[in-house]
Amino acid sequence: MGGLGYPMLTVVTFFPLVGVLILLFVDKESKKVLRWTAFITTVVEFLLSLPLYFKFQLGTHHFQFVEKVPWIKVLGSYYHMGIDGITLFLVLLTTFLTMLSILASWTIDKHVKEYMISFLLLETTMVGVFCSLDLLLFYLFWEAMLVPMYLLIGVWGGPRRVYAAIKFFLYTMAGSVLMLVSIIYLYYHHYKVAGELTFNLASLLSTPVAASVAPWLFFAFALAFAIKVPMWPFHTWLPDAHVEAPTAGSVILAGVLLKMGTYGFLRFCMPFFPQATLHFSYLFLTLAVISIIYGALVAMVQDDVKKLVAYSSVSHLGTVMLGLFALNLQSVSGGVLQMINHGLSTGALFLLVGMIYDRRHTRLIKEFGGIARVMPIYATFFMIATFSSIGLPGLNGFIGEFLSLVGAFKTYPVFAVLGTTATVLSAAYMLWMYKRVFFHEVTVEANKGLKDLSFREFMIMLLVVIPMFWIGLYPKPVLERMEPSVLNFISQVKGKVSAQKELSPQGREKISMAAFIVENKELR
Amino acid sequence: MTGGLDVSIRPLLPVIVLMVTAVVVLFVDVFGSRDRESHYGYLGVVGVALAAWFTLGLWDKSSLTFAQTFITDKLSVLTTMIYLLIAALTLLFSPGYLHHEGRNLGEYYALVLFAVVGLIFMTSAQHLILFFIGLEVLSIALYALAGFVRQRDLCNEAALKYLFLGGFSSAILLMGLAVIYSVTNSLYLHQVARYVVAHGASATFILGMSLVMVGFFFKISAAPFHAWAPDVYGGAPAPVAGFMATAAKVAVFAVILRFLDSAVFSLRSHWIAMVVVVSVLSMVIGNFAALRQENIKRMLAYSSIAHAGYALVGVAAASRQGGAAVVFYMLAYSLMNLGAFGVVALVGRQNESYVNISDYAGLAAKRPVLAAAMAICLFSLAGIPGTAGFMGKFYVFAAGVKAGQIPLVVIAVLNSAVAAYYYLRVVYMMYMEEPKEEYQISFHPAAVFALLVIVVGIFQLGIIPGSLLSVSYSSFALFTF
Amino acid sequence: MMVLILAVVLIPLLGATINGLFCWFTKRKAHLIAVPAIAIPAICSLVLLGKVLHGEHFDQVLYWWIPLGDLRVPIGFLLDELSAVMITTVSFVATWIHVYSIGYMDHETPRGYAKYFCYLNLFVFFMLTLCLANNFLLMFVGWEGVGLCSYLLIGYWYEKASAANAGMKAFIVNRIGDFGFMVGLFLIYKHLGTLLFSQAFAQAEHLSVGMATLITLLLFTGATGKSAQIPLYVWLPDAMEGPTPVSSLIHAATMVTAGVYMVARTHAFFNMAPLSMEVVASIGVATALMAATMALVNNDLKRILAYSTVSQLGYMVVGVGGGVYAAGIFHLFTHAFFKGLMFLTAGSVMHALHGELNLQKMGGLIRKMPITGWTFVVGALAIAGIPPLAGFWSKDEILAGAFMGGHKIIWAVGTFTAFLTAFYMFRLIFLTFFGEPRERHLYEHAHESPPVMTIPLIVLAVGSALAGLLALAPHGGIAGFLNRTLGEAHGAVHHEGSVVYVLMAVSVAMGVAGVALAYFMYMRRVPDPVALAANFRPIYTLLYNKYYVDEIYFALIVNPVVGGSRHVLWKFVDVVIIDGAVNGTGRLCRLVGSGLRYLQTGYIPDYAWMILVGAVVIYWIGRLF
Repeated sequence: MGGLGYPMLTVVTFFPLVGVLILLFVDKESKKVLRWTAFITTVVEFLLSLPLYFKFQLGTHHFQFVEKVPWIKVLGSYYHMGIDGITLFLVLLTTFLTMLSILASWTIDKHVKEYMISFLLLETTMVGVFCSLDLLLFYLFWEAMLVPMYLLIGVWGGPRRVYAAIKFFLYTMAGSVLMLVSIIYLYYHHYKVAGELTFNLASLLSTPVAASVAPWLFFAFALAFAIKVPMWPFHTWLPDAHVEAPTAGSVILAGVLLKMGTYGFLRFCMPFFPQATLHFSYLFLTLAVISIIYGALVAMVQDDVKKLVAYSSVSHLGTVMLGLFALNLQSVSGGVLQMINHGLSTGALFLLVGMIYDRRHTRLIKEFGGIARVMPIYATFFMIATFSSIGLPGLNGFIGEFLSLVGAFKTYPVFAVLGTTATVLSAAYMLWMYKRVFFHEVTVEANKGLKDLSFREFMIMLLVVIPMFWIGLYPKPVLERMEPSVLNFISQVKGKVSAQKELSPQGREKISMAAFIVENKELR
Repeated sequence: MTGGLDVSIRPLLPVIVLMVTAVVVLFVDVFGSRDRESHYGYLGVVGVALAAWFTLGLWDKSSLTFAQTFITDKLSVLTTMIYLLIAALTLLFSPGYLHHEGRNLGEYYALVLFAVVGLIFMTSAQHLILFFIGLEVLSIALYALAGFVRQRDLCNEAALKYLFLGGFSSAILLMGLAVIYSVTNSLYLHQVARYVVAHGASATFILGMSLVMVGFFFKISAAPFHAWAPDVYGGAPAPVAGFMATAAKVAVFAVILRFLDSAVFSLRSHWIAMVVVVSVLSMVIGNFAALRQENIKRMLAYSSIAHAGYALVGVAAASRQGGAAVVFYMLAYSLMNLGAFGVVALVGRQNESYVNISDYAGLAAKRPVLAAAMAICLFSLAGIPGTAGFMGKFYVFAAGVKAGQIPLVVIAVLNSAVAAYYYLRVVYMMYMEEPKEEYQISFHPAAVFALLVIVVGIFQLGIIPGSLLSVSYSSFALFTF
Repeated sequence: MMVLILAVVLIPLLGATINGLFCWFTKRKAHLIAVPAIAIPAICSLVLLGKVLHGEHFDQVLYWWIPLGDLRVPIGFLLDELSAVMITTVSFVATWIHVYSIGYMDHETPRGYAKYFCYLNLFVFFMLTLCLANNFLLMFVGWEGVGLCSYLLIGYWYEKASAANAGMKAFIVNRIGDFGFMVGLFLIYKHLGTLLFSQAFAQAEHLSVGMATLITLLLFTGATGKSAQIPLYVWLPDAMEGPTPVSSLIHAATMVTAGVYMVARTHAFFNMAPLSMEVVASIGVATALMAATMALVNNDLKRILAYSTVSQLGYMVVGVGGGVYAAGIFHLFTHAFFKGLMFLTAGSVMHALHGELNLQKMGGLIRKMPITGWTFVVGALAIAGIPPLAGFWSKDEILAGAFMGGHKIIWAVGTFTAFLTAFYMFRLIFLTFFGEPRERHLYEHAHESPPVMTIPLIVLAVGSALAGLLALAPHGGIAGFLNRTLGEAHGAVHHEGSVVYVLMAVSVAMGVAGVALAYFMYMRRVPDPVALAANFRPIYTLLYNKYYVDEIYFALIVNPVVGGSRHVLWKFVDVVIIDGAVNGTGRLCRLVGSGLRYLQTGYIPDYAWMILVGAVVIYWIGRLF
């Protein structure tokens, strides 16, 4: 089990259900109570997830805080939880963003009870997805997650919410069912080879699939995850879902759900089918680059701020995919880090968009202008989030972007260079939008009287901005926890040999003696 | 299996109990006072419970009695338990409904109990004639039930259609039996099997087998023999529709498994082909037709056609696991389908005047509990993980994959993605639309209790299905699968 | 030493943070924090300079920023002659501009005032980081950071549409350059496995010439953005929308020189790539000439100075491109004084004339504001290259270097540009400060600026006058000092006596000629500029419209990209094709569904027939397999 004495992951995963239970017995009219109950639940949840970070052991790629008890004996399926250096941060991101999302949902006034319940359910399923080491368990959380999200979009969403919700649900489900088939295939393949029925990730990884079927299974997985990421051309559900979803919904959607796609590639799709991965890597690199450029260009011409941010997600996630498929230490770490960064920066942007939407009930860029004069604090936070998403050095965005690109450049220079255009394009679409919304004279009458951030909103933004600077200035704690897992991932895909190359870099000995001394001093 | 004329009464106890209860109900109806009408249901439930208790006693006492025509094995016990569960739930749903319709009569409950008797005979039949008798007992009861609310035209139409087409299919089935007999000189499953193993498949025998299979397919409303289902389920009283859609299916699937396993296993290359085709047709026709249904009962009818298709994937696997999967799937399916029809019965109200999907607008706002129950059933039907529906599908598809039926399984999963659409439509109506007018839905306590049981069951099967999976697995212990 | 360096870097950051977070409290008192926050670093950097003079060097890692496999990037600082000169220049000029700003920004809202000083401090922080970084990535942090501050300060009056646009333009254009810079970094890391200066330069010779050329050209792309060279100079003229002290500090004295500094810093690579050197030098001289010509006819006080900045940056680039890095940096150093000075004087003029910038409305102002006027003259003489003022020495070294390096054409063009420079500068002077006032009421209200503004002018004027004399300092003067680190490409250029003096004479003559021509045209009206403009209408319009470069960029790049994205990618590919396919699938399914309803006739015979047909099919299948 490791860590503290209790089953930490189980607690972190299922604690929100406690909140749900309490909420069930709260009168649906006493909205204050409902909100606070939900919020306190998520705060406690976040605090519960923090020990994972502090108790996390460095220098090992093995799963930690592992829990394993039989679940469905007949199927050889276990309740098997555990996290490594990669999922650690995804879990933290989830609990963190959910907390903020609840705080941002104060303005929800319709069916508060149901809203909070579905949100807490969502949190459980999300954490579950990242922690499960048993494929059946994983799939259970993976699919179950659709239901609360469907409700969140469909009940509390915008005018075209029903279309968006059903599109989201069917599109993602259609992708996942094929993955289910290939999961089952792997399950029996392992049974035929090793003679044991199990959904255990590690054991299934240990039995490679015949090269003849591998591509099929690979694409079955890849489709499910590519839709979730979303990679071009599977992205069209995203703008609809984002625009229609309530603020908090978009935050979670962009902040966590999209990451499940990239995470899926990282944890399942690529390690299961190394040859297929290497064989089709050019295809995916191309798609990644298309996503990057296409997403950015389309984002640039959106009239709706939220839609703009949505398309920017397509672009950013493209960078992540580029990093993952470039398959070297820097690129993959950059990709993973970029997942976190995107969660923070885009999450922040959606929160901010929501705040202005609550005031003006529109998100059309042309409705604004000169907001910086009436809402200076808001403008400042928006500026920070903008530059974090543009990847300004010193903020989190840069580290991830730079690492994934510099890594990608090592193996695929052309793709990396094409991907680097994102730095120009992102600046173009974000700053153009920022200019039109915040600069110029205040023209629209309704904007003149806008109130600046309330204390609650201020706290939300403060909380989300802090990690941006932290990762931007001192990413070491994140990187050092990630490195072993990333190396392990690379070795799973490219085989041990090349991973060794990653471990003994020619650069190491180049570092000047002085630098070493400093480093050691600082390690002690 | 000892030969000779063994007439131990033990295996028949459940049947006897049920018949006695039925008769008692009838008597109470005749002599009892009218104002106690809703107690028939409870009386029936007591009988069912008693029967269940006796049935459990038979779990690992497999026997072959009555000149080896009546087999009692784990499969029959397990399925019997399922029938009893279905019956109990139906009995609980009915009183409130019938009260509305002013047709709360003893016959109804008696007929349900008789139907169960028929079911038990079908699944325990080792001799095809006994099976046929059981089938007819069931069918007659169902004909009567389908038209029970006689003042309603739709109801009568349903009963009539079911009668005619049911008769037609029974005829085909009977003819098939005749052909088989003409070839093998026996209708004992094991003797048929012995013959087939010895002589292989003659064209005539294939003909007989096909006709029998057609009869089966009709009863499980598998395409292209499904046409009656939408009209009959659409017309029949909601609780009856639920009963028909579940009980009959479970039984016939059990029979199919028994027949294919004990009689014609050696011909699997032939019947697997049939099953695969029918399965694909059922899934496609069922799901796609359901997309455009406005009447929720018809929608559920089509969905039940599709579900027959899914279950057939398990049959096509032709393996012990496939069988187990089918039985488990049937249990899951019965729960969620009964639940759905139960809610329909409640929402339908007087004379089933609210059976359009649009009538469910805003149900969540007015009747949160009811809506939640419905949503859970629908999500389970859609096969969302965490519910019985997912586990059932998963187990069936797993069997399919294991048996190498991968294309079939791919078609199946894609279909289940399509299916999600029409289930979600109802959820969307309940949760995302504003209520049109005030609901005056009277909760009958029994119905609420039944719904509770169902919801618990759905989650139990969905989250910790282990025990039941192993039970259904072990129920095929004696099979050659 | 680390302490001092940290002080130099962090104190401005501290100032920025205080003014940024507590602008509600500091308000009008903001400068009490901001000015010390830059004055102290200025002193510290002088101390550091002294240490370096005694040959001390410093290259230390503060902490490991991105330690990942073989990519190990520290937060670390490098202090050598080059960075020492840079930080001294930056902090010294910045200090006086801060002081000046107190007077210049006094009519801002209290919070705006605090915000302004916050940004200014922040800029200094990033600029010093840029100069002191000991690795490419940290340098890039400063590089982008100054870009950010420039964005913020250009858009300081963001309610003016022009200001908002200018800020955005500046950042995006710079990003285009940074694209090249980043790819350059990728290459360096890929081929040298490090981003630390010390290691990278140590093994620069391992690079193939081709690779070195590629890397240097990519890095130079970054420089063209920051240092406003062709083709990316377009943002700098617009940048004049910002407050004038900002134009002075960021867009004349310091930030825009970052590109030059970077080229000098990476001279190890450039020395490997003669081709790149040629390219750099040529682009530099082309920029110098083009900008100077644009300055000839412009009537906007600040824009003329902006073009002159571009032009002078061109000179610096020629210097570093010509291999005489020291000369380039030396010009950077002197330019910081006289161009900073001239912008401040321009600001003082605007301050007096309530933001009026049109030369044609001024005239005779020297009588109203002598200090401003005469300090400007000093600056102008310096830039015109009149000995013994600063500009003369540095510019002469560059041109001499080019000549010696065998770039005769570059030398010729550069010298001609010197003539143009002298001309447009003195045109400006005569139109602004001398002759008869052309707008009476403006003239009446004009007044000399308060001492808080004039003192910096005087200080910088003295600087502009004397800074050049450093060239005569012992041990080869400042050039010799810088050459300790920089060295010179393809062997030191020996200044054989006679040639040098000839060159000097020529450039001085050019300067004088320029001044003279301006005097005759704008004081004596022979030849009459108006008539001249009339005679050469086409050329005049071409120059007046800055060669239509902005228009061309818009027509060829911006509009196609935006239009294409909107009408092709979004409205067509995304909505019609991709989403059409997605929704089409759904619609198809529903269509099939409605088709299937026709099976459901409701007639029992039909159903019976279906069953029969089905039965036949089943039998047939049974036989088949």
